[in-house]
Amino acid sequence: MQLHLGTLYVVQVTTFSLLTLAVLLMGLRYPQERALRHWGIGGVLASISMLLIALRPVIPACCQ
Amino acid sequence: MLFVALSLTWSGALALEQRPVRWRAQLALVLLASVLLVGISNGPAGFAPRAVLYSACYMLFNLLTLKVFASSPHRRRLGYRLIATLVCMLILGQAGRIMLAMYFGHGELAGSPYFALANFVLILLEFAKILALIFVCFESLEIRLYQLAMRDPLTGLYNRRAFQEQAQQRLAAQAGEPVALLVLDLDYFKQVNDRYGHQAGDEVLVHLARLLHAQLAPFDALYARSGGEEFVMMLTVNAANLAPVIAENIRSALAAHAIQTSDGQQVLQTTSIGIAGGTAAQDALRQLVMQADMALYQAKQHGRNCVHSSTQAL
Repeated sequence: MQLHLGTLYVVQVTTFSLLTLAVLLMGLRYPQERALRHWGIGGVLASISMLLIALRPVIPACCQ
Repeated sequence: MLFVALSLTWSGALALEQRPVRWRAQLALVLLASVLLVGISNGPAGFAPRAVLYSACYMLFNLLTLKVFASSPHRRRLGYRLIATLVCMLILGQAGRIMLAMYFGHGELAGSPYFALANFVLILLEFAKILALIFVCFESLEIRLYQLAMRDPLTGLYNRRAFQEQAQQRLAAQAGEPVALLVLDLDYFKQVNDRYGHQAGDEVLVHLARLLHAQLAPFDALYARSGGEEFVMMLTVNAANLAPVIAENIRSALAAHAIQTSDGQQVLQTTSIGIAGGTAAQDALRQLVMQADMALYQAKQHGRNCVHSSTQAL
């Protein structure tokens, strides 16, 4: 079976999103760990960005 | 949004180090990158310049993050080394991505399998970096908790638990070597607290801790605040034979000058010290402590402000 690059990218981004979400939740659970909150929020934003970059071809031009 | 995300890696590193987050510099860099991106997107250029811009920003924020970790006093810890290695690899990876973008130029980059592979590897490294960041946080937390459990918060010296743990290790490691245990107790310390206040009492304890640090620095001594106004010290190998001299130096140095408290009071404080000597062995600690306590009791009986040695060998 041929592995499609797009599928691989989706798997990667999904795993990355879940991982960073876990970091953010840990940062919220332990308020003294400010660094985890920074990295968690950064990771979630990066995940959304990667998702938008991946969806760029299907987003109508007027919305880009 | 991606630029904000990248900048948060840097601010997270600053937050971990308990250093102030530089929001203005962060915002300025994000705005600059965004303006450049808008300029590139509106120009005739295609995918490659955008990829170069993303990679350049990525490298910049990772370099700033690397600088924070590399200048940290904890940089020798495993987690910090791991992070620094991964950040270096990511910077190199992004440099490779820029080279690919410049090599392929317009149009061809998006479809290049090399570019897809570079992205794949970079995201994998990002996974590893996030796991390493979590590891660093928990490593720092573990060390903080260990220090809280093992250190006396007032003087910063080891507490009784830490002393016992470390003393047992030393006695086992240096079995057969001479060892001396000193127990120091401040004379009439309750009266200091009653007369000058607990704040002054605390300052006397801190003063003594500094004095012990200064006097014991040349020797490989283990010392701790074992409770209240009592301190305990262990000297091994050659320093053990010098125990009476060292104890006398500590006693005379404390008694020589009045301690100036923060509210301007002068406190004259003396101390009594009991010494026990013997040979290091795995189970010797308890007996050494008992003998040193008895010697201290005798020092108190002899009018305080003196050093008394127990001559009984283990």
